[in-house]
Amino acid sequence: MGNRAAAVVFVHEVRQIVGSLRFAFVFVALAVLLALTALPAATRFELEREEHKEVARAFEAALEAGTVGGFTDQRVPAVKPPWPLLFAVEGGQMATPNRYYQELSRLSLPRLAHTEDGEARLPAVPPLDWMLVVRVALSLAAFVLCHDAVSTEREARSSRLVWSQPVTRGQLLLGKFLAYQTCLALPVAVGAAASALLFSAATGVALAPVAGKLACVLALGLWILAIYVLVALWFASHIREAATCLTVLLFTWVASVVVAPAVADIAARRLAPLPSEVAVKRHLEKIYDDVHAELAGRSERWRGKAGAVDGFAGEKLSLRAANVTYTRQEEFWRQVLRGRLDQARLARDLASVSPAYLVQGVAERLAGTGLGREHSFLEQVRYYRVMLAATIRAMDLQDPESHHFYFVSDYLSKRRLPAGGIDTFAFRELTLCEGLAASWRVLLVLLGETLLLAWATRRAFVNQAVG
Amino acid sequence: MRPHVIWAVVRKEVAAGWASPRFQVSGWLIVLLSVVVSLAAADEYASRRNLWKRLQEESEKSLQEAQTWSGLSPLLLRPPEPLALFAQGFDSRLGREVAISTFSVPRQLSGDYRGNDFALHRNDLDLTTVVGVLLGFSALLLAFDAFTQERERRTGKLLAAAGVAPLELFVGKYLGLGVLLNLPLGLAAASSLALFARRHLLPLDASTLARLGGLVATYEIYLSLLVLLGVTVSLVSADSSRALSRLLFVWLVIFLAVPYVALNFGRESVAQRRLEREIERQVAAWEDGDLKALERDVKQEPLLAASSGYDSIFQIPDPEDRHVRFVRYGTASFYEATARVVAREIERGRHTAKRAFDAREGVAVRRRARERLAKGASLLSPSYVLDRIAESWAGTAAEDHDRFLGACRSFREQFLGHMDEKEVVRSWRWFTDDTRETLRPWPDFLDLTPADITPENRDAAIQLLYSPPASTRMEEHMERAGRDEARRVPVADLPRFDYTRPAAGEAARRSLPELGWLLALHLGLSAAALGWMRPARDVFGARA
Repeated sequence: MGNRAAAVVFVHEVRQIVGSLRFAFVFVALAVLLALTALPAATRFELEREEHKEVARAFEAALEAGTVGGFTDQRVPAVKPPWPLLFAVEGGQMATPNRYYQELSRLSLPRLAHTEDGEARLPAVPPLDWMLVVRVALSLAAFVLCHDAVSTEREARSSRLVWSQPVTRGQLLLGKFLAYQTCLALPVAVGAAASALLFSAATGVALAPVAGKLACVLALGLWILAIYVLVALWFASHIREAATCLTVLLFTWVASVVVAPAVADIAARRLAPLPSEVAVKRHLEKIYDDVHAELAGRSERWRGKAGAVDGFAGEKLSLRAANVTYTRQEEFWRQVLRGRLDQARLARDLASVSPAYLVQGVAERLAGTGLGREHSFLEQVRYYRVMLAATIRAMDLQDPESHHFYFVSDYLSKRRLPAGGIDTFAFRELTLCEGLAASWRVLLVLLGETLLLAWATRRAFVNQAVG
Repeated sequence: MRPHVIWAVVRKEVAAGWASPRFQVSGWLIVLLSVVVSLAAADEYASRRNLWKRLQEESEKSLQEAQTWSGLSPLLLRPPEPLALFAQGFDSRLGREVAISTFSVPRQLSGDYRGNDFALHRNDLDLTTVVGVLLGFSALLLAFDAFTQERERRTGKLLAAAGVAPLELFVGKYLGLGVLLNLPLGLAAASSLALFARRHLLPLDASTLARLGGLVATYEIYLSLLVLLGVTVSLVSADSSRALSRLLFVWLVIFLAVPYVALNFGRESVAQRRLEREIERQVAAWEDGDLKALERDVKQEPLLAASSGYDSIFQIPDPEDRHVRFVRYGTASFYEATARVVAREIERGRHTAKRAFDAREGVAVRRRARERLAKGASLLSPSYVLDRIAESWAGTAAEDHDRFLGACRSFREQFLGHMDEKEVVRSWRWFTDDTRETLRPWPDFLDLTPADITPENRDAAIQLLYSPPASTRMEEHMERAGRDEARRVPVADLPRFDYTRPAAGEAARRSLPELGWLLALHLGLSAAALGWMRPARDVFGARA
């Protein structure tokens, strides 16, 4: 009986919502915005894919005529492949570095680069993806549709009539909640499906392997939608006037979507400041000076074959200095990189005060993008270097004419690199299971917040004055 | 229209608005956020300015220490723009420096002030964002019920009975809300200014003050437009809820969605990037052609083609730039041969640099056309227009960046002209700090002459050179030569790069079209409101 009552309320509410002009605007706006996310994402994906191929081609060409020793001076690229879910949860992939260059030689530190170039004269805007539409447009749409869920009945004087029916307030609330949730979920589902299909058609990328991640992101979008609807119903139960209710909801929106991330970012920069570019450069120079001061100017002696006169004594000293310098400089450089990631992580954690950004963080973790992907990329390239070093060492040891000074090109084997002897970098994406493992705690927090909100909304709705 | 009636309405709007929780919450939020954003912007600007100063010092030092003309590469640094504190624009995004080179024409700046690559927001928060988003939103939230609340509270009847004309009410409400919103704006701007002035970040010269004035005027025009929009929608809506919903749709679609979508689409295209890559291949082919020509020239010079006692064994190639050379301990005939080859290389290089620049600019024209389309579509959004005008006033627009690049190119021409006047291109000084007076060919360290070195005994001679006592003598000589200031390139009369920001007048001229557009929107909205206030319409809801 209770379920039937709620179902009747649900059907009635759905009819009312769907019949309004407001809903028509909301449906079209949401569906179109979501569908549009596919196109710039597809362009970006294609660009990165082509760039990726170019880099691989250039690297293969460089290897063809290369020698074992010469390889140590070769700038070896490691490319983060284009992210297939750019249209759904971009996770900062368009702006963060996607290429890592490193050499085995100790002459220069690794370098990060990204596809974005210095030619663009367009203002920066956030990339268009599902999460942006959910955060900005879906929230506003939910507030606009739901803000007068209670006041319309008060104003139409029908609330007394409604309360007098054999339906509990809890069932009434359930019916309304499900009606709003369903009506708003429709354009989201339509838009999301259109977006996925468009992206797949434009890029030729099969989305079946990432269907699980996509489904999780969509589910999260519907989860945050439920939170928006509950928030709107909570305020609607407390505030009698529709316009005032909507105003308060909009202030909440501003605080959640605009103020929270801005303040979080500023706070993170203050709480976890980064060393300036000049400070980093000076520290690296100091490391070099300190190591070479110990050798009183006897380091940096590379005499080629002429060094055989004293058994390459000078070169051995220089090699030790170069290796120590590089190890310390690289460690410091990685520390700076870790600092940047930590600052960015802190900003995101602080922004998670807002449910919209909490969900964004969960979506990024589940999908395997965001800072998790950056961290994984940096770890994998580090391991790749270890593999490269082992490969070159093994090749060099087979040449009796090599002086085996690792990794100084003039003192290593001059033999040609064997075809296919060097593995190119292959990035392993994070799996959904890894994403779940990284986000289960936050999911629990989100669940707790949702249940608390649901309880508070029910209480407010049930206890509100009739009219 | 009666001024005293309008004035009464203005006073009433200000009093009512001041007391309303909406205004209190939004007003304090705006001021607080402005202070927080300004503090962050001040820190960022201060660190950029320090970086710029340090880089300038280092650049000057490296100029003073240059030993050859090929190694002389003045670094031109774009100074961080002080008014970026108010409108960041492109200041932190498009690079900050360019090294002048004979072999390339500056097209892009390298290095940037972006900060953390992994951050949520990359240095793009400023007072203009607070005004555009928060204050603009607050304007809508205060104005949406200007007329609808009179109807809902039935006070419209009283106004109609008192003989207040709809136009008088409209103008009074518009002005009253404008005055009200200027309070948080004024407080936000004043606190930001005070903060920046206290840290001596803002030069308070006439140009800066004029630009600041322009910026504030732009904020006023923007706010006025939003108040006008809010009051007009309130005029034509049946109730407050409907008015607010309509305003929200307008805000979401026109203010936010249109520029987001247009700018995302306008960002890049696969075809454009392929074209650019093709041009880069073409340029690389030209440069390879130059390299092959250089190799042919080298083969034609016997002293360069084969090793002997006449050449230099001390050569430092620059891994970043193959054109930078530094050689020592060669002979006069070797240096003469090198100078002949290098002169031809430079002539080819200058020609290739011009060709490469023209080719790249040709392709960039298409990219700019696409970007103009995206920008054009985005002009529908008043908040986008506000950002563009603010950038022009602040000197952080893309046009300012391009202006700096233009100045860099002009300086390059001056620099090349200076080198031509001094005839350094055909001289030894391009690639060595040895002069005829200080010549010391390397066999001299072995008490031999260049003629004593043959292809057969050269390797053995070099081995001896790396052993004491020859190696010690050579190291001592290198150290003395390194400290010898007479060996440095004379830079006292080098042309100096002097870049000045565009005048406030130029900023004004540049922002005229967008300002005109905002004023046109004003006119449009005003005409719509006037049209609605026809006598037949019951603006006050006085009839039952």
